[in-house]
Amino acid sequence: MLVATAGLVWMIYLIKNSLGQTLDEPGKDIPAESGNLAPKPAWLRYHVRYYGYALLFLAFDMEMAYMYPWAVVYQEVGLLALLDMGVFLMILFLGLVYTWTQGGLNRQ
Amino acid sequence: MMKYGARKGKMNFFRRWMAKAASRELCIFPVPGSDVLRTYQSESLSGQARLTTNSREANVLLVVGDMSRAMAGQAAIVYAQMPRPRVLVMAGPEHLDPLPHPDVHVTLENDFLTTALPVIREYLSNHSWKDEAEAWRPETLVNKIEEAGQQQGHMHDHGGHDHGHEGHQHGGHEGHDHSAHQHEEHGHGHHTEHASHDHGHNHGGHDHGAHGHGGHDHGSGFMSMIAMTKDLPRSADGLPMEWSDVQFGPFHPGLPGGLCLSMKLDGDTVAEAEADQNLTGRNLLASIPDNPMALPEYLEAVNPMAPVTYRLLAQKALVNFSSEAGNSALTLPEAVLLEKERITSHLNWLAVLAVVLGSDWMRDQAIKHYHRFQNDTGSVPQLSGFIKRVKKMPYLKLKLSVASHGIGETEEHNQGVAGDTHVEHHYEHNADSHSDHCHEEGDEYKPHDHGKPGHEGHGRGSHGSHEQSHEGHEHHHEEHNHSDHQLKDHKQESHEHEHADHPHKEGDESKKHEHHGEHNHSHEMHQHAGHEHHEHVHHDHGSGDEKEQAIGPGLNQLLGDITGPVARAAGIEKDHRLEEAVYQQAGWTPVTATGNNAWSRLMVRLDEIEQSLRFIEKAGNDSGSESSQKINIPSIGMGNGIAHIESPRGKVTLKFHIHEGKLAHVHLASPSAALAGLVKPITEQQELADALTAVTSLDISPWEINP
Repeated sequence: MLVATAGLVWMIYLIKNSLGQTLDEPGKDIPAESGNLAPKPAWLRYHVRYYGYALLFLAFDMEMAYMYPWAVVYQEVGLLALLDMGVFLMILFLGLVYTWTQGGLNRQ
Repeated sequence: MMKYGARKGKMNFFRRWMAKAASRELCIFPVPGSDVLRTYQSESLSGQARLTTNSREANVLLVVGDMSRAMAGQAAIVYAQMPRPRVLVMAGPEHLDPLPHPDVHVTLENDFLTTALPVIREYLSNHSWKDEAEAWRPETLVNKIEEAGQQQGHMHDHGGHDHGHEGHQHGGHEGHDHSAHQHEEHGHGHHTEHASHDHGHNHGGHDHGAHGHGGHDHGSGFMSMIAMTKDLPRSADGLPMEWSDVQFGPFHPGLPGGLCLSMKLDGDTVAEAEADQNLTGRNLLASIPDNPMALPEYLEAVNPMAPVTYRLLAQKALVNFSSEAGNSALTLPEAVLLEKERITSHLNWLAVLAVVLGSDWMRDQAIKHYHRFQNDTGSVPQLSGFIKRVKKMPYLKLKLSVASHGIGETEEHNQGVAGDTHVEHHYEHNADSHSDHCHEEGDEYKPHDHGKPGHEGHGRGSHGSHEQSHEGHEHHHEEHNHSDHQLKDHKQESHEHEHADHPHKEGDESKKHEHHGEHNHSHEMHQHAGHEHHEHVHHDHGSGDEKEQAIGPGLNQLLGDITGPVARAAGIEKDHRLEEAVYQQAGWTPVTATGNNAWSRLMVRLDEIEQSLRFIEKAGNDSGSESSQKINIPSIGMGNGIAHIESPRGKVTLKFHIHEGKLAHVHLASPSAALAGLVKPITEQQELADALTAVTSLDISPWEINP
């Protein structure tokens, strides 16, 4: 294993050396975007606009919490429980589709 | 030879093998963009090379055509970022500063890559390693990098200074509930003056003076969020956030090649955006040829995205100048030529839109049909099939209409009309009634008079009346079209057939009712197809409010100068083809829609493609050719020439003045300058992806913008 690792390292070094000397060019050390140098550091206070997502998450997460007790009694109740949960999930799904169509998933 | 493109070292067996392998995998970064490159290619590059949008994976920088020094500077940045071995290819110009001299130079002509590709391969095979290779350090690039470094340093210093200062000044404010002061409505930079000035804030009875600004321990402001964020710009929701400056373009794959957008981003929302109007703009006056006869070729080269239109425009203006009647009306073969260019232009735009939408299928299909129609080998049924599939693409309508604002619309309004994009077709335009608004032959702008100074003033006067009557005409259509017709169940295709099969005449009402009943069209819609002049006049002033409601408040102001598909997608029936006899005789009327968003712009262009196909089909044997009208420019003549043409992007107007047989002044009014002005309102407070889509939907040609 050690030999294989050393061999791989040696091979990579050999390939790197065989490609010739690298030339230091200033243009390669700075990020660019669409033909423009990026002057500003990307470290900044970024507005993620999470409110809509937070509300949606809360609504759906709390409703999904009902699935835990359902999972406990699922084997006892059987198919009826599956149907009940199917209806419940369908309502949730329709709510999500409605939110989507109303632009609720947009961050505006 | 590849001094700045080769890797340093001697060529040996292994390197030659590597170089040969690299030469088989050509990865081209086209400058200014793949849409410009396509206009010179009769078929796609499939298999021969790959186009890339990332300079880090390209090994060929391909410069297509001449460009401004500013844009060459941007191309130099791309070149500097490319890994070696790299080849610089220029098609057209022999040298562009600050780029190095090209490794391969080819003439800019159709299918130039066919000859260029083998040469590029040979270069990569034989010259990928060179002892003479040097690092490329152009002065301009080094300066730019230093400037960028200084900006970074300055920002860090400034930030540090600010924070300390803020702590000092605002120590006493910490106890307040600043959120209750409605800070987003006021200038936050003035907090230091609270003690002595009444700012008009709703401070709710806080006694600022009593807080003793001077007596506090200044250290208590340290790390105060209020103090730290006081100078930051406010988002729409009032939160203080930092905005980032980003540039999209001039080589962005989802924007027209050469178009550069400068944006301020608040998170992923666009706070401000504008199109850089000085990047591609050429100084028309500086390089204009003296010889008027050279104008068609000159203008053809000015805009690579609509060469036929611009060449014809110049020819028509010259005809207008030289002929006695001043008649520069289009002939049928010329109209066919223009419609062919409209089809390819819209398909080229669709390929760019597909990139920004992330649909490889749409992009590939659009490119395929683009090349076929460019070569006159296009299949109409196949293109129609493609258009139908695009219209039915799942989620596309929702994405383009709900998410994208219309011009001058509020968000509420936009959502309200999002699903109501109606595309109207009026194929049987009533030429008789329409001629009431149109210019007659004698009214044609004819301001020149060879060798007679003083006639110019008269010419300008007649031009003024020409424009006035034109605008009046447009207005009629606009009012009639969009305030009166409430289209709810409009189905485009059935409507097309109906209109094509049954030319309408006034008084043919019973027939119209019958057909509209069958096809589920409204009665009002049908009447519109007849363009009854009396109705136009009647609704001219009476329905302005209705129209405003229908297409959004403030629209008139913003869309005042806009022509072409963008205006027609907002329900404004501006189209210079309505003035052309050749279109009137064909019973042609423009396609319009009322959505005023990216979706309606897409629909209008797709329907215009189909409409152009039908127009060409109707023209039959006239496969498209330029006019053979004699143009006579006397060596001592003086006067003006003018021509208008409806380009794929809107109405283009060329005016020039000839003095002693030489071009003295040229004025070119193109639609893209006005479209670029829409970038700011159309992107404001939009998500970045939606903003880019909206800008792409405008189809701005940066080559038309003259600084």
